[in-house]
Amino acid sequence: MLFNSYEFIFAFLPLTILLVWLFGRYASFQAVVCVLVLASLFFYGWWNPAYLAIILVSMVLNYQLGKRLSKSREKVTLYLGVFLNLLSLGYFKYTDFVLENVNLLLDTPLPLPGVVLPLAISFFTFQQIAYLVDSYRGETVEKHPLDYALFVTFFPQLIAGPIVHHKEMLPQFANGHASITARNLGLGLSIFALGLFKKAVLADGVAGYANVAFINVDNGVTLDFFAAWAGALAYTFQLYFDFSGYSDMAIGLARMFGIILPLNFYSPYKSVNISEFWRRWHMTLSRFLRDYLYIALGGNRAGNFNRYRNLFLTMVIGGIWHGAGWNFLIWGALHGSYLIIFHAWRYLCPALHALQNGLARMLGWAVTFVGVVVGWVFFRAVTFDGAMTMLKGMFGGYGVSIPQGVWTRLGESVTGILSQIGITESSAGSSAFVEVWVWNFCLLIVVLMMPNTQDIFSRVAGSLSKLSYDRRDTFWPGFKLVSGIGWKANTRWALISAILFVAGVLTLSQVSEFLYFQF
Amino acid sequence: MNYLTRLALLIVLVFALVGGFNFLVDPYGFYWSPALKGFNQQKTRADERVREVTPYRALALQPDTVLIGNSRVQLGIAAESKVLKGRHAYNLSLPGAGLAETLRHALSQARYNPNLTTLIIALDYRYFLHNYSQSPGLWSQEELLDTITQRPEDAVERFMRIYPAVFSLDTLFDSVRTIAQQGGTYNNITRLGSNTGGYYLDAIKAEGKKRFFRHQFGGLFMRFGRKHLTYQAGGEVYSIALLTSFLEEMKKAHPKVELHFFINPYHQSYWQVIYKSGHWGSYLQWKRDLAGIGERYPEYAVYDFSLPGEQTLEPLNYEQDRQLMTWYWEPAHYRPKLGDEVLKVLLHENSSSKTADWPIRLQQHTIERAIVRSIDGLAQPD
Repeated sequence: MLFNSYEFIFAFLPLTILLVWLFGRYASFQAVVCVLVLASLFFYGWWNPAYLAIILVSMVLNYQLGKRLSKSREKVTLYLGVFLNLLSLGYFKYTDFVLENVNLLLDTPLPLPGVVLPLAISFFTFQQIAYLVDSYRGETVEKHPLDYALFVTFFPQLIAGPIVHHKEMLPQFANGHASITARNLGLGLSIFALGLFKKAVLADGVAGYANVAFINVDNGVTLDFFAAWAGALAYTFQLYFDFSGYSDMAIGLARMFGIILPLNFYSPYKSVNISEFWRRWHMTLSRFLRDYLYIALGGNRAGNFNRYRNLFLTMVIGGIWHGAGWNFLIWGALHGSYLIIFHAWRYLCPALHALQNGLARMLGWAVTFVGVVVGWVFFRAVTFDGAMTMLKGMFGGYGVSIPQGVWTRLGESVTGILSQIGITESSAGSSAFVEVWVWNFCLLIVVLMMPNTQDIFSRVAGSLSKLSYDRRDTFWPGFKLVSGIGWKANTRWALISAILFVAGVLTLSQVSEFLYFQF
Repeated sequence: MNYLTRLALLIVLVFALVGGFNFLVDPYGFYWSPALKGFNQQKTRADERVREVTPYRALALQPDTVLIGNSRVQLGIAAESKVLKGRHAYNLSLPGAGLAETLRHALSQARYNPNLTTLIIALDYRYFLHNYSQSPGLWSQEELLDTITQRPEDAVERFMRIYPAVFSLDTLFDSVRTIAQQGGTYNNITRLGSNTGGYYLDAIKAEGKKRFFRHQFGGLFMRFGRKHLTYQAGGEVYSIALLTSFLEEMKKAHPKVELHFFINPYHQSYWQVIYKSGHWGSYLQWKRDLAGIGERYPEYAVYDFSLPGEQTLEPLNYEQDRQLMTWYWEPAHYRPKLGDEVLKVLLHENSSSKTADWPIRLQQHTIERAIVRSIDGLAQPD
């Protein structure tokens, strides 16, 4: 069941809220937890009831291992637990990929079993590995299996995060936070409405242009400079609004039940360096990779070389976590390289790095943004050749042209100059050209100038983060114009939220999955 | 009143406002809302949903005369034409409609429109091309009839298809654009299904004929260049079998409905495209096969307008680059002025054409004349 579907918004959600409210009012708190677990399992099983067995086995096993680790702190048990989790993830996610490459490398005819990736396995596996490590470290103790089940299956964040820590959720489940109140419902619905708008209107609105461009390059069609950039930028914005919209919806849904989730996005496209980008993009995954991988590898404890190596490895593993494909690995390696270059730059040119004026910020932003867009090309393209075709187009390898319909409307004086600098006219559709660039321009303005959901809802603790209008290491033109914007429980915000919600719901006739569901 | 209550009420209110607004503007012509000049009279966004709207309106209006074809007929024959005066006509033509889709709508009209007296069906060579690798030969009558038979929607299905569109963001954008585009040169689907061709007016004004036509020719060559589409395979012609099946059904079940077929009046430069794409031989064979149909079913006339004449040989006149052609929007689409000439012939009024051999009713004794004329037309200097 998708958050952006009629059955979720008009049936599952109201019914679950009603049941939780009834049980909260007339039964015990444990009954509320029980209702939420059952609702979450129903929500998960809606896609494919067979997946339920996988998540249930995984939950029971990890709960038992965690309980044992809390008491005994045995390293063997921890290694066993992590191994079993990675084994199941590896089997479901990478079997076909590995066999395919073995066949290619050794020219063997090993049959591909065609393993289907169970929904959300990447997310709930990482979440439970973190739980095992925290249990081993004595940072968390789980007493009640139902609370643990809710920690793993809580439907707002089950499918695609935010990846939550046991220690930040358990207290909320344990002390009766989970309750339906008019304030929580109003606040949660407002956050949900903003997320729904981002996903259903903005991400899905620009998705068509990105899809056409990437389908073309994956099928060997070449794109000129403007078409390639238009497609790459369209995907850049689609991915951001899709995933951050999903995260907002998750945060809003949880809030309707009185649960506050961690922040997952904080205007990453405002970042002036790649390190800041990763502090703001998919923050709960970055946190997991930092705490359980980068630090486990040694972090920055043993000199610059080891630090860079650990950074690179962490990003490569982060890349391959997203999917079984070489392009994801390349994407991870690319970001690992970006981070190494950035840290080296900071180390070698501290004075230049410390420059904070507007021009320096803008340059830093431009370099970072272009680097991120280039990375997304590998992330989105299905084939390596497709990614390279797209990049060649973006760097002018297939010429620079403007559709005939636009060209003729520019007037002869302008087209004369364009011709002189090597820009030609093409037979491509002019209306699609104009539409995609209008979309890209508007969405660039939104990501650069508008406050994010966290900024808007920070006064009312929209998430577990304390961030609010944080401008550190960002390029934020027009900051003063928007810095006062903050949600209040008044008619104005009710109207804004209602418009966003209705706009989102008005798109629901077209089914559109979230991009991160595939990971 | 607490925030949640205000939010809930406002959500309901915004929903109602959007739905009401879309219903009132009715950008696709679904809801029969009043068409007010300067507000929503020109349905400039209706072509976005034309496949849903046009057949729906045709069945709802129950006209006595129905024009069916692809974009050539949609743009080339006005259901509002004076030639159709006294009739209740509707243009049920859909851009890109293939033969099966055309015949399906024709059969639906015959079966479910009790007022129907006359069907005018355009035959388009390109839509007689078929991918034989997907459906090899020897088709049964049942199979062919199944292809063109369509169960009508029941009231619930129709309601579910039509009314949820008022609660759609796309419809909202199209409502706003409809209002903003009133009076502009945009394609506009009239209440009777014809397209006023605003797009062509705008394109020729902005780009000039030479540039615009070059683009159109590029598209035509691309479409005719698709390798898997052929007219016949092993002597069998699927589209002719489909047409025959339709005629058998019409003769048997709807003998009172008048059927008029015609080959669209392609411009001479369009014949050149057919020739240069390597289709000329099968194009002439197609005409022979249609003559065979004309002979076999004498009650249903098949007229060939794709022959040299004053209209089809109209010079492209690139010297007057921003000036519209008299008879054509562009080489692949004719204008309603030429559509009127077609109607006059089909409905047995006199054509104002000065050429005696334009058009020719295709039958066994006329086909060779039509073939010679076709070859003559191709040889004319362009």
